Amino acid sequence: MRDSIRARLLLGALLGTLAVLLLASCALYGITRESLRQAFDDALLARALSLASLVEYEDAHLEFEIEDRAMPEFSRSDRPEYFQIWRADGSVLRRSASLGESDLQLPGQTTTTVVTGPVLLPDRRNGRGVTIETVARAESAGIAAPNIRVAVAKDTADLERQLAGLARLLVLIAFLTLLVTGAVLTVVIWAGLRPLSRLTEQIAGLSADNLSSRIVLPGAPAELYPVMEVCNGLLGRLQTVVDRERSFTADVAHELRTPLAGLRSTLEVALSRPRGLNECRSAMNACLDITGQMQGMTANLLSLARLERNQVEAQCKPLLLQELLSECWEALALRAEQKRVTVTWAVRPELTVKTDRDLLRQILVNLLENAVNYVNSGGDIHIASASGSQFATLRVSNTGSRIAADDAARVFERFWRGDASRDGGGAHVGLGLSLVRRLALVLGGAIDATSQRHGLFEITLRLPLSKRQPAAAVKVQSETQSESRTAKPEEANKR
Amino acid sequence: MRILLVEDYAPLLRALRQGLEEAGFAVDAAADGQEGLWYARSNQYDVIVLDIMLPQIDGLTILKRLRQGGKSAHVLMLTARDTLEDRVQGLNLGADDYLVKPFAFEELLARVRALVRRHYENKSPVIQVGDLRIDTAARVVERAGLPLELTAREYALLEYLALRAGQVVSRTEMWEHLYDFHSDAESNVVDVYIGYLRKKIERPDAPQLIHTRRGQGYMLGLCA
Repeated sequence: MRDSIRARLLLGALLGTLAVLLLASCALYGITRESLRQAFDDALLARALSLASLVEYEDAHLEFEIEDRAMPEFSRSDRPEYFQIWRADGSVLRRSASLGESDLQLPGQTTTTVVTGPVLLPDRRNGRGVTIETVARAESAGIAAPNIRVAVAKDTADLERQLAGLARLLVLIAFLTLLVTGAVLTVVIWAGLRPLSRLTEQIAGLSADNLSSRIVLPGAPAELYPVMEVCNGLLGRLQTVVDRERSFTADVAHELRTPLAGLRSTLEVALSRPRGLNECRSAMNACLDITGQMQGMTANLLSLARLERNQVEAQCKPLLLQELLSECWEALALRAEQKRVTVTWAVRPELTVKTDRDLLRQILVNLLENAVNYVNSGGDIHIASASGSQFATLRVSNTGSRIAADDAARVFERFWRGDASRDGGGAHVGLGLSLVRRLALVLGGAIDATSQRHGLFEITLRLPLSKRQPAAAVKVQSETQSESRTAKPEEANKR
Repeated sequence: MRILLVEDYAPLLRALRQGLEEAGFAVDAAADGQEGLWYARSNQYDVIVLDIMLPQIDGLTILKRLRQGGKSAHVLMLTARDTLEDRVQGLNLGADDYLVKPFAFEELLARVRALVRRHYENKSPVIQVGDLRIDTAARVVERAGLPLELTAREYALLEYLALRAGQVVSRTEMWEHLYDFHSDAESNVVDVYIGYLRKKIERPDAPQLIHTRRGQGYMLGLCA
């Protein structure tokens, strides 16, 4: 059976009640028994004292002159009492008729005056007895009477019956109390925990379709509020994620519609009348370009999806940043030249980062392509590096940006386009930078963008530094190497 | 008829332009909102085909500004968004029609023509002037039941005059509505084409249909 708060509470409360009842009953029983015994012993003592007072010391002689007949309680056959009197030397002065010839075995042969205790009576019944040491009554004053010892015993059947009755009563009370407590507790606990049941019902009623609903429990107890708040917070986050997924799917569909419209219209117009071979080829080439765009977009989307599901693993090794930059720039150099762009490089040649080459290449190609695509004709592109203690920073900036300063952070949103440049022919679907951001995270880095007043747009990429930076000796070699390498980027430095 | 195309996706712009021009329209094309708005304000268009998602100024804003500026050109909106809210918003802002991408070019053409008819308050695609019958949907011209062969430009000119049948149309108007902005048409070209039309349409035994108004323009109609 599963653990249940209710069962636990009920069990605990009942056990507690049981413990209390046991304690109280025992205490009550004990106190009552002691009190009854005390009364019994007091009666015995009084009896012993009265017997002792009947012992006379006369003419140097102890006498106990009461006839057995005068003491019926000591001589009857059914449950008699017993007494015995000893002289100071231990000889027996008198026995009760009930004793016959045997002695009264009593506890405590000490020198204290009064000793009481349980005793097994001669007829094998349970009883209690008292022994007192006292002085006999002297007949005449002034005479020192000798000591005597008087013992009295009586069976405790009545006492025991009373106590048994009490015990039975206590057990009955305890049982009834437990029963009633159990019933009351059950009701109270069930009622008290009902809000929990209502909460469970509400949570069970949630599904992906109604994530906008929140858990509301009017009159809920204070203990449930933290739970409700946490649940609602979770629902809110879930909703955001699901909304984002849904809008992403919708965005993808919308974005695909435009190239599809291009394909369809191009083909339909081409087919609408007889065409020469050149016209046909031209239309087919246009369609091929469009499918290329769609292919690129699909590839980006898949990469994004994989990255978001953490299915991409980076193999990080030390890498010379400058080297990879040059490689990525090669393909763009011509276009930058055609746009008459001034490109300046300020990257430290020996800067080594710990990264995955393929993934970083994707980032760099994206950043450099963006710079070249969005820079204005005759504008500037600047690429610079910096390094701290743990991270290296790469800055790629271009003039001619039409992105507002407030919008700078939005460039990393999926499908967000600041301003499609006509040069790109509407091919910039806006996925590149969100991909770049994901990639940067996988590489253990970060990315940021700023847009300033005079149209200067800057992207800052942070990457983990390699622990092994080239040493001084190697520096010389890499400087010469980087000289020839940087020659390439500088080729693009045209006015 | 003169059409303004505003669409930022180049392949689609090219295809639509070619298709519309081959269908006999004079087409101006803009690839961003700014340029589109400028064109729309500077010229008279019969229909404007407007994409919603445009760089710089989006289509809905252009629409709003056009309507505020009192431009009455009929607007057909193109978009990839097909939710109810978007459609309603577009129509409420003053669009006359709405097409969701991707669409069949044939449908675009038909809707554009419908908008042209509406522009000239012409419910039927067939215009009858005397015994001259012009089917604008089929692009067929008949006089007294006999089909006439016209070139694309001749047809375009005739169609425009027919849509404004009974009204005097100035050379400027004809030039604006029929010939591409970038073409080097001189106003003389209009006269030349009127001459071609007359040769094909007018009969000695039938009433004159194309009339000259000195200093004003031309008119297609029955009475002089």
